Amino acid sequence: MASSGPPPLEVYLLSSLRKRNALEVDALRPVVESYLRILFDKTLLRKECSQLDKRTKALAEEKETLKRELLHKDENEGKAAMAEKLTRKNAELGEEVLQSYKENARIAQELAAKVSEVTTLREDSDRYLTERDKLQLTVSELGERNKELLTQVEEERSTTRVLHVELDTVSQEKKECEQRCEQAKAENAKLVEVLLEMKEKEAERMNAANDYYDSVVSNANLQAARRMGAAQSGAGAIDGDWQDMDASDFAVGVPKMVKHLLPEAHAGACQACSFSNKGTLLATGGADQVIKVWEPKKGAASSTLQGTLGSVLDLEFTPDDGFLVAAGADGALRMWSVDTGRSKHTLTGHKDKVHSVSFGANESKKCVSGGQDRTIRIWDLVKGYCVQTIACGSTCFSVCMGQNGSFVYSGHFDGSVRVWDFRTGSLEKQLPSLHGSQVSSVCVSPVSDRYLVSAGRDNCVKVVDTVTFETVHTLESPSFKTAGAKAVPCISPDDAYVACGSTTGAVCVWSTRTGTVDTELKKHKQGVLACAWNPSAAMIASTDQKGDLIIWD
Amino acid sequence: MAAPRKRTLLKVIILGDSGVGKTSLMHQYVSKKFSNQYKATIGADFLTKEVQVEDRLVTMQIWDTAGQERFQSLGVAFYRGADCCVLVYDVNTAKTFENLDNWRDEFLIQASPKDPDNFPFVVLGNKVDVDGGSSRVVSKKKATTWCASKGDVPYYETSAKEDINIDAAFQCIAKNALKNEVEEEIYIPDTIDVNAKANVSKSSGCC
Repeated sequence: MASSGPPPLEVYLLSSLRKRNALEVDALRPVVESYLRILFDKTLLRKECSQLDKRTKALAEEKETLKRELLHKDENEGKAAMAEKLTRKNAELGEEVLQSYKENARIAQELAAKVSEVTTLREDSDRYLTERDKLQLTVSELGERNKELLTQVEEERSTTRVLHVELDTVSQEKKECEQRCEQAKAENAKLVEVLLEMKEKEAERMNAANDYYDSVVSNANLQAARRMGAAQSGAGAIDGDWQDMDASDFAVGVPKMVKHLLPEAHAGACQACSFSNKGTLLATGGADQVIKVWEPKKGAASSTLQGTLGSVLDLEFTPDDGFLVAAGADGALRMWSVDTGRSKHTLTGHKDKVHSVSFGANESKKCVSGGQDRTIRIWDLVKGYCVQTIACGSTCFSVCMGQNGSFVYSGHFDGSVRVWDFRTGSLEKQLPSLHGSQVSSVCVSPVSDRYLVSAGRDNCVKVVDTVTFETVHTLESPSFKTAGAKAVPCISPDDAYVACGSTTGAVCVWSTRTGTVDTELKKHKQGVLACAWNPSAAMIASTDQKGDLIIWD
Repeated sequence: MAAPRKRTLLKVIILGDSGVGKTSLMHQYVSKKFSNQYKATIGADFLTKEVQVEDRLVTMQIWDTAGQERFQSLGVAFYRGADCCVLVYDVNTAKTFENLDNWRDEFLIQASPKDPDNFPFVVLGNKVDVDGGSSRVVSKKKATTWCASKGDVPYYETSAKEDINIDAAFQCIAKNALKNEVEEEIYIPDTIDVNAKANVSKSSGCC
């Protein structure tokens, strides 16, 4: 619109004004011309008139002279004819004069008509002139107006341009704003998602807290009930679970028989087994990344705990038997509720495989673990994180907490057994090169804390006094071979026997009194990896590389 | 039994359509505060309040859930272990009432309580104060009929804004939540009884 030529309005105005002007001037032209002709005619006539006047005068003078001559000639003879002739001629001339007068009058009349015509024409002309003036005035006005309009148009055009520019910027801004709005929306959605996730987690935590609260309350109630039951029966006899414990205090023998053989309890090697502290449950963990909880008396699995991402290398019940903690090859420790099978914590911090985990007798809230990353770590199981890290200088294959909870014993790659203060984390004692090869496992007497038993890859088990740190016995047997495999020893609740599995498939039981082999339990077809002594009965559980579990009674 | 298992923590879940006043009800009950401003709940919020129910002091843990669909991630986590479910609708909006069925079914599916027929629900018709009740579309009769059809679910007409019936409603919620738990209590003494018998027989054997 803006780019087309000059606006038609002005052109039109200009041309129309010109046309009108020409029309009016052309109309006046014949009037002026005729007026000029008439003026010219008039002067001619005047001249003629004055000539005729002069002639008339001359004729009158001639007549006078002729009269006088006639008078003179009257006297003269022959003057009469001539007088007559003159009279005639005089009449003729008179007629001629009359005629010329008439003509003169006619001309005058004509002149007057012409004059009147001229005056009308002049009036007309005047009128036209004034009209023309007016028109010129309007033309100039219109011109001005036109100019004004042009400037206005120009202004408007410039403002339009400015507005266009503004519009562009504004639309740009709008686009940006829309973009920002989109971004904000996306961000908002993301935030909502995050928030929802957080809330979900919070809900989970809340539920866990509720469950925990429930378990605490029910535990407390159970204990109260037990106390009451004990008070009622008076004799101090306690119900079912505790019966075995009482019995075990009196008579612990060596199991001789296979009570349950559970072939392929785990798919692949089963490296960890542990009894609950009451002895009513047995947990095993294997390379199949699953933990199974058994009822050792029935020989039946009661639950399966899942969640580990690597082989289970060690496991242990908390002293209150409420939870189970397993150490995995994935570098994490996991904690499950035994009752519900629900995972409570995943304890991460070890940089490599966690080989071992252990509890003190009375401390359910803390545990200790040892790993391939040459650290021993102490965990707070209420909060679920590591509270202390002890760098121990050599790969730690096994940790065991003393029953009174003040010492931690660890077996290392370098053949040493080290003793740590649980509270401060400082090294209390080092038994350098106790074994000629790696120490694969250590354990302490379950009740008395009297012996420290360690199994190495040098085909022997050492029994060390925990007070003097002197080796009491070195336990060996022709059928006891540990080279190249992990051996986990266990001690009977009354400290009388030590059992340890061998790569030959035998479980050797030594007497701690004599240091000699008491029994060899042979049933496993593959190397025995782990064994555990039921803390409340003469019962041993052993597992092998094939995944078989045997419960001896 | 002198030491019966007494649960003193009650998990109460509030469900209902968006904007019916779930959050307002909870805030009015717990902190005696009300705001006209609408703020959508995302996920869920939790508040606790100690309540005296028949000479027992219990802690009521109120879970206020999101009504708006896009803020819902109501999984099992939110419903699990609930002791009572509060269904809220707006008496001025028919749709919120019609949706009570959905909320109830959803809860029963997700929470899968042991005894779905007797799980304690409480229905609250909220916003009875609006326009002096002239804009109300769900009649009390309609609501009570519905409640009766679902197994005599207690019904309260409330206003979180004017604090009408709130305390009574929550008292009822606490009571019902506990009622459900009483049955559990009956069961537990049974097991203890068995043990007691065992004790008796054993002690007789010993002596």
